[in-house]
Amino acid sequence: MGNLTNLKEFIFETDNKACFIERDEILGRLETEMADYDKTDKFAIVFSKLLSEVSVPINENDYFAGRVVEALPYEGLKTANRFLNSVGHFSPDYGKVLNCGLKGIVSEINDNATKKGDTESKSFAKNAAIVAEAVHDYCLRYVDAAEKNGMPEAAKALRTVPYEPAYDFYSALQGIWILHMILSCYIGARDYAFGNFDKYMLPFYEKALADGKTETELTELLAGFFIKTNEICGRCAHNYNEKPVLCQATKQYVNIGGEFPNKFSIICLKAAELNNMAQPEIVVRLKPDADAEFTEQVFKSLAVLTDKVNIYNYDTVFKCLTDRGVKPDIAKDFTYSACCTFDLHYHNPRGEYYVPTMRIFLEVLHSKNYTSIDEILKDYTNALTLDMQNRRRIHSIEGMRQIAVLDSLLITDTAMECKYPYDKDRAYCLNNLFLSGVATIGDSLMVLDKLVFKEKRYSYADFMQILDDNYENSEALRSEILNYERFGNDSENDNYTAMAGNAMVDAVDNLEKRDNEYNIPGFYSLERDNRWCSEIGASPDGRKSGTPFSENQSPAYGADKSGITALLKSVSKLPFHRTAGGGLNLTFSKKVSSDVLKALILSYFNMGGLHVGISVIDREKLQDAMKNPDKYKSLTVRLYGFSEYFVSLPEWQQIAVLNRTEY
Amino acid sequence: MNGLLFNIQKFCVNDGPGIRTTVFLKGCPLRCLWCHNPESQAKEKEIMFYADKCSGCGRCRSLTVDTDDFVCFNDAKEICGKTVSSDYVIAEVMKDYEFYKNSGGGITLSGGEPLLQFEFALDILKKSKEHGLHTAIETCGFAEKDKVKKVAEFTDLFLFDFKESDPELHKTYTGVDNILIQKNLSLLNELKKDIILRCPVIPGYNDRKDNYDKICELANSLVSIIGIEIEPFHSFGETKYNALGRQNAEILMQTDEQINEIIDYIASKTNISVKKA
Repeated sequence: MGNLTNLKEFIFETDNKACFIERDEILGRLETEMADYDKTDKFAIVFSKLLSEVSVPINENDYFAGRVVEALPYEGLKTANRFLNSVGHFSPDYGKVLNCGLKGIVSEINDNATKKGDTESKSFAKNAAIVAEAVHDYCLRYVDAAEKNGMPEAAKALRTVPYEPAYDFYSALQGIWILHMILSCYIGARDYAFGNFDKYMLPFYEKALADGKTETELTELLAGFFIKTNEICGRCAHNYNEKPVLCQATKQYVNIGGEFPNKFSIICLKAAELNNMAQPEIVVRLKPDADAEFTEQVFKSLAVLTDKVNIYNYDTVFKCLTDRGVKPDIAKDFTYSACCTFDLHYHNPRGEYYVPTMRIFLEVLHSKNYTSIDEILKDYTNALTLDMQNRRRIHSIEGMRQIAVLDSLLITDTAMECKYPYDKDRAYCLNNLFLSGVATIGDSLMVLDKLVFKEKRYSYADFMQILDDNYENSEALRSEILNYERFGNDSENDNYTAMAGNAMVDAVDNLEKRDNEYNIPGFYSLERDNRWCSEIGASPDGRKSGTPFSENQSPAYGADKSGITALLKSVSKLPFHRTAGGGLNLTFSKKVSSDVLKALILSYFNMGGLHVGISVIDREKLQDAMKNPDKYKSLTVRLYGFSEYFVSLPEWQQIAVLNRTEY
Repeated sequence: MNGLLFNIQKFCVNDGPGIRTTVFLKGCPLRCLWCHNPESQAKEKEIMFYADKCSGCGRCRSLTVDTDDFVCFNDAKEICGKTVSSDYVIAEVMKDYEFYKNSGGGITLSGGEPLLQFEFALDILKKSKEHGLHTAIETCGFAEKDKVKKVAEFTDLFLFDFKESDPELHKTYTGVDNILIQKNLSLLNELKKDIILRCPVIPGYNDRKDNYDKICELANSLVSIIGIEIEPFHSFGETKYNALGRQNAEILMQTDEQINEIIDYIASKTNISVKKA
């Protein structure tokens, strides 16, 4: 039986420089060996060979078998191998895997390929069979390892799952874990998520209770499953410590709740409290009136887990999706499988585009002498649409077919048609369009309207010159602007940000699209602080060139001066009924009771709010952690839409966390 | 009906049940040596100046307490005190109605001493009740009996400050004795109004066992007291004393352990819930 405490210690003792070298070395060799092999099963065979060679380590404290070996990088190891590297970014159909097994899925694909009879479909089915067998063989190697290391239940389970259907609660979790680890660590992509976990696990939970297992036992076992997600490796381009090969730190998302929360949804929250590690992030799809007991537990757990929980307003998202033509029975299962990023559960791989909203806004402002806000907004919408349309035209998906070998089986409605996840005629083509800096843009419109169009204190050209000069010699004006009632204070000026938000969403709605295509906008910015800011000139809201713009759905830093209730009322004015992504992070300076959190968030959702994530920050503790990181290895904070260990952040980001508005 | 405020604070979660808006009325008949809201004491508007924030821009050169809508861009100078109508207060408070509805919260009048502006306070409370709000008032209890009785008609909860049990010491520490305060407490008990006793515990002043014993004796004798809150001393007022050009008393802050000991001691002598404010 596993040991949660020891596993936690093991994770915190792991050297953050260590990474997963074994896979890269094997792939490096296979890349050379198979350079001349050009048949359509090339990557299925590469995958198969890779799985047949990698180690099958076991930690004596593990509840479930399956982990990768890590080691410190050696000199000369410089570039991650991308030979077998799909893109991930979806929620595999684990429900079907548990009920039919990979074998059952392959069998269905095979039947359909035979019916269709074309070469491509047959090739698809052949590859599916190769990878399913490879996973099975790998699991059988783990059977031996588990038996030798005193894990008989894992050994028993891995003889069966995930190749064949799961037979109980433990085997279901074991099957999901090993498949999830293979996807994340050996396929080498990031952002695979667990989808609506509480739905497909419920029958196994109920059966376990009927078989005499206790709620306490099952909760601990689930915590033992959750803690494994902290081991997930992924390409770490944005994970702070750039490493030459795959390494730890891809964020993991478990969705629960929705229209019909169940008793296992509550167990998920209790297990998350027991785990209480940075991973996994629990995403609650909250329909407050669906189940009072579940709603109560959500806020109790939020008070404990703070930054490790995301809460989405189910009704708002569902309405957005059905308004956009998604059928209700598909829409109701929506999930969030990455940082504030949206999916239709296992029906689609996720497309993402960070629209350069700020750059385009300033380009539009400088394009001619405007005389009204309406005129600016009209041109802005058109410019955004053009940018998104052009970007989509150059986006190629052809290269993805070969290497999405295991991914292809698990987006099942596309797989059953013997199609690849990125084929043009896949079942669902879903694009997340991330719209950043909405408050900065809204405040800019407010300032222009006041100073240029209404009060006429400056001509339009003169004001643009002030921006070009980066407020040089206009400090008094800048101070005045920064004291205006900007977005976030529940004033009439919030309307400008609402207008900016609508103009952005209009731009998305104006895109030409195919029948299977869904463009889902969200007010969201991942790299608010460092990615684009340096390229963005001064804006009319008093923001200087190269400095951060507003994050996610939040006001500009320091703009909200009227407290959290005013902030929530302001943010609720954004057109969330037209969006499904993005997030709002709230930072508290001290612990907040679950009752208060519940009242705040439910009130916000009643007003139309979309999402809330919270952080509780002890400023003194964070400052001490910057000086003594070893004392604070487990201290987490909220970033963008996920939880991260504070001491793992670079200094500029630690300071950004310290500078947030607190309530 | 107009009155003088020095703050309206939204999202207060420690001034009565649920999420509340606390309205701070300016002016207080007491002068507690440890007061951490010195700007609440005078019944008139005052100018507060935070020298460390001043850039010397000179925009405030002609500023007086009667200047309207002045905003210092550096937050260095402000006029403390704003004359507003009760309708304005209600409009501000009602902005957060959704939050009260979901939390069982409402409005709390504080100060200063709200009963010093009796008519104004009463008007706000009446109108709050007309809007279906839960009402609370934080009071030092030093007010005429009739006023307390009238206000009680529109008040659901009294957060009643009890600073010192010994009348003489009370006078030394606050400028008035506690005889009227005790009478008003008994009156509210007779009126069956919910009361939470708020007891500041100030090192070197009232942090004595005999004081704690008297607090318990009093609380145990009055059925309307539903809770006791212990308020540790904190030094938040220091910057504000400086901004008003006044000197604050130098008092050492207690540790959490010391406060917990006091709470445990009081809790051991009463069945009423005792917690840190």
